[in-house]
Amino acid sequence: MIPMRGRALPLLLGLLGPAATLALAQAHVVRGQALTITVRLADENGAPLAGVTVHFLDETDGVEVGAGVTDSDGCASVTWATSSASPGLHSILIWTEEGNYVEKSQTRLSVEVLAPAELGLSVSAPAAVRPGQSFVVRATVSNGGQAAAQDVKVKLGRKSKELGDLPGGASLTAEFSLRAPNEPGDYDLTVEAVGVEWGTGRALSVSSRVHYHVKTEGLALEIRAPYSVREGEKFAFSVDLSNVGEDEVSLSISINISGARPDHIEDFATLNPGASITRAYFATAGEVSEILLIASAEGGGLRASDEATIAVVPAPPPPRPPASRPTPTELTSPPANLTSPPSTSPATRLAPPSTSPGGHAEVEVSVTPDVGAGSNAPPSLRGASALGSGFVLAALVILRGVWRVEDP
Amino acid sequence: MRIRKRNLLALLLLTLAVAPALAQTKVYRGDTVTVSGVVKDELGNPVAGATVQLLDGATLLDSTTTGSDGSFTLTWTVPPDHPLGPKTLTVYVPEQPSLYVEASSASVYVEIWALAVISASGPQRIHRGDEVTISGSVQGISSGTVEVQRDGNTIATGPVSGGQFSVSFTVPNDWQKGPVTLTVTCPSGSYVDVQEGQVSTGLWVRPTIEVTEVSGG
Repeated sequence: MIPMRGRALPLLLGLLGPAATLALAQAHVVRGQALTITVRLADENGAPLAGVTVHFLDETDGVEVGAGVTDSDGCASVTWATSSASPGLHSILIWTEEGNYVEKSQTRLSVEVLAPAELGLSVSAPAAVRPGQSFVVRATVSNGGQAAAQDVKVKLGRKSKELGDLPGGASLTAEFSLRAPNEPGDYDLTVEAVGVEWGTGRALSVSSRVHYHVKTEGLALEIRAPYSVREGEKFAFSVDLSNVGEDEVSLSISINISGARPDHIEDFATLNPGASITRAYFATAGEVSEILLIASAEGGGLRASDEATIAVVPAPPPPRPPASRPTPTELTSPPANLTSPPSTSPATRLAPPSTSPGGHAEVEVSVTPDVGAGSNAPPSLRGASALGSGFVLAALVILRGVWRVEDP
Repeated sequence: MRIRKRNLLALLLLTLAVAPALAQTKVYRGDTVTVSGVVKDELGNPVAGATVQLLDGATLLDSTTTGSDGSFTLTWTVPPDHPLGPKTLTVYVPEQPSLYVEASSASVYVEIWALAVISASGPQRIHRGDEVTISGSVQGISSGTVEVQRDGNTIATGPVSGGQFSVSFTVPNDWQKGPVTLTVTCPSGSYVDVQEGQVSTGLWVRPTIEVTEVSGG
């Protein structure tokens, strides 16, 4: 028995006139489904009328559905093959000819011929995710037909979501929470929606594949610093940052310096995918034997850090006034220890980052020679040089040989 | 002496001395009563040329002269409004000196009846619960009542007025479909005969069509 719409609509029968009985009822059938219509003919007292020919006409398509003769119970039936019926509401005229002291009569039955259920599946997933990232796959199941799809389920791997009944023209969405693999690469997901067509019990199935990409990501940080500095010396060091991932990252750079001033440096940088930059900083060594640099960069879910140590050597004794002003070349040459070999930490053993094609790599290096005498030397030193510059020069040559003082 | 109502003849033997009484004859209003007879003398010889009269009391209804064989025929048409009931007519042979005939008479007894002829009509189809009207006319009586009967059972009654009637009734729900013959009659009364009317109709049923099941396979 085909249920009425909502399984609650009863057959509505009513007398409309002395010679005609008009019954209003509505049933639903999926096109192609055979529909058997049974009627019962009775007189005014409810007694069955046997031997009466009942005709069934599809008024909508103008097609004679069939005819039947009432049996002793007053019942007659026809079976309507709806395969050629047009989708939509059909008015079935059920009528009897007059004869044998039975007046003609008629009734109408409304039958909605539904287009078969047709499942469609639309799956959305992020095009790219990070390794191990949780993400959501949304599968929207639509019913492009008119017949309802019942017991609709969406399957994704071992996961399954019950969506229930899906009326014609409706759609429902199921969400699946997944975790991306740790290995970067391209992955496919297959989502399948299944159900059963209302009325016919026909199995419905549709599937869809969705592609997503697990990104490569990574951040490298390397400290470049001199092996040693003197106490009180202002020295330079740099931090190399490389974004080896596929996304631009904005980084917060934090440098903790132990044994030098300042003891902490904060900075920011934005790196395009594949880009590298170098940031240079300055600090002044304290009276310690060793300076510890700890640099870290964090952003976009990535973090990298490195540390380096710098040996601190005692400051040299106060120099005597120079015999002559240093040449400009000596004043602007970089500290010799800045070009020293890299630190022994793993990060420092990485090859120096190459400048990115985009030119975002930055090298900020500023060198100030630590010269004790010159044009800004105190007047007392400048007076002494006038008196015995020859002695001083000779003493420096001697001291240089004794203390093995290197040129600044 | 013979009395004839239409084709009905009654023989009246009339003698000049004896007038034998006959059984009452039933005649309807409008009928013509014919009285025939022979006038004979005491010896049984016919009396020719004698005047014979038919009298209703003192009212002369008809008069004739006997033939050579003494026979005569008198007629009287009963008026439509004539009172119903028994009636005595007199066949009278007045004294006729020229023929040397004494006066003589004989009585004829008749009953005046009315014949009610009912013509009725009704619908060709009737249905249970219908209000059905049977109408028609009654010839022979101008007033009274009519009954509509089916299978001897009275369904409805109605008055006759001016010879017309119209009777309505509701078709019972227990009548079965098929042909129906309705009889229209008048209640039996004194000196009234009824020629019943009939209405042939058919009881048709109005079916209801109930969609009992719509099932798909």
